Amino acid sequence: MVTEPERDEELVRRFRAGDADAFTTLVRRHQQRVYSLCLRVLGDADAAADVAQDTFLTVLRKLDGFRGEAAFTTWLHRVTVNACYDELRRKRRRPMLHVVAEGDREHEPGPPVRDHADEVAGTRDVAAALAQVPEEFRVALVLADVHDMAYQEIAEVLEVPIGTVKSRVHRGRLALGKVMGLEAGASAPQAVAGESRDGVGEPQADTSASEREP
Amino acid sequence: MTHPLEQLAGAVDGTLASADRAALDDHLRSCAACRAELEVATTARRSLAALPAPEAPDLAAGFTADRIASLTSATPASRSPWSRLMPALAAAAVVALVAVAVPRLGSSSDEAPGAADHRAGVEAAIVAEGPVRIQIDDTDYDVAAIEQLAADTTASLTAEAADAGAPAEAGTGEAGTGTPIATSGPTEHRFAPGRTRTAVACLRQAFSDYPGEIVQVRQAMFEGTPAFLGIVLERPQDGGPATLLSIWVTAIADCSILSLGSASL
Repeated sequence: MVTEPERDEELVRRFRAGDADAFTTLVRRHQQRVYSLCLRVLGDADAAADVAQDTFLTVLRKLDGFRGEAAFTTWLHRVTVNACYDELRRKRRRPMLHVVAEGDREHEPGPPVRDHADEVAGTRDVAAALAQVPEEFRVALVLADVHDMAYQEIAEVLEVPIGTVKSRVHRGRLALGKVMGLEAGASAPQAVAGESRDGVGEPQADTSASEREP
Repeated sequence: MTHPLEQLAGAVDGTLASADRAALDDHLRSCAACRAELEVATTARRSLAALPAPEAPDLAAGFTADRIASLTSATPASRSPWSRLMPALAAAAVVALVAVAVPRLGSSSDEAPGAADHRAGVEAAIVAEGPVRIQIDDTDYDVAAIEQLAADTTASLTAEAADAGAPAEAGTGEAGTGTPIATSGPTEHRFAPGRTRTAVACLRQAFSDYPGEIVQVRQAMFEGTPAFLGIVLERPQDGGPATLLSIWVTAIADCSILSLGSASL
């Protein structure tokens, strides 16, 4: 292709003008990132597919409300993250279903990682460890270290100050390291535990859905 | 001593400004805890960066222009978007119709002529829809609304079966793939497997004592409670084609049964 790809915002404009194909193009362009974000945050391939699809349905429904204050990708990530939080909340509320889901036993419980690529040695461990990082940290961590997104953009996605993002990312990395058994080095085995730091490895308070609406 | 969390984050991914880096280095010289953290965080970041990109499902395939139109229009489509999305199933419908209808002809002597194959046609029309999908329905149902939905669904199935049973359509590849159920209400169709399995497991548990199959699942509300609606074709205990359409309503939160409505086929 010699021609420059159309900007997302232009596709949004075309979609609003009645061109449904423009939306299909948006989905095709972003489905990989959206799915990947869902997979790494949720740790479950099936749930990730569901939630990624939910995300695009929400985008479709709310596109009229997208005024372009933020970049489309920022807004899309926000919708995705909110959909992931919703799913995590739903999962917490219906523990029973894991019992009744006969035939799905291989999916529950255990390290919640089922992705083809994760069969590669080591990858599975990292992805499984990620699922044990507290949610608030995990989301920031995935955006920063898996999707390589800048702190400023993460701050816009999560609608929190940039300092909070950095703090969550750092705590997330430490929490991941802890789960992976990378306990802060042989040089200072007691150092981390001895410090009066808050938060690392502890679940965060739930945030209500209304606060997260894009 | 305060530990520079934010600076540690920047030091790990190389986004720390050089002045801040100098200040951090000062701190690190006297703080073993932060040195250790820097090491752990760096390894953690490296591990995450090494995760391969997963293979995403082709979600765009579910957002064709037709489906987008049906999802965004307030007026229910005259035919299910799935009938356009899944031509292969249309062909399967014809096969299913033949396979189901033929052996049952004349098997029920005590009912009106054609009743058995009529019902077989209803089933074929539904089987043609393929695996159960969750539809999102914004309605908040109550007992009366569930009964009404059962009656309406039965009526639309009956009409569908009449179409599907017409021999003239047998070769068109369209028989039985119209709108068995989605004549009103939900406009969004889900096809990803995870939540569907959860919903189906929940609903199966609800009607486990009855032979039958779930033909459609909706996610809706029942008197203010988030609920799964399972539209089920129930068969007599001694087998044979389905005689009853029932709608089981279970709470999403704990699978408890909230309501049940039904209509004879």
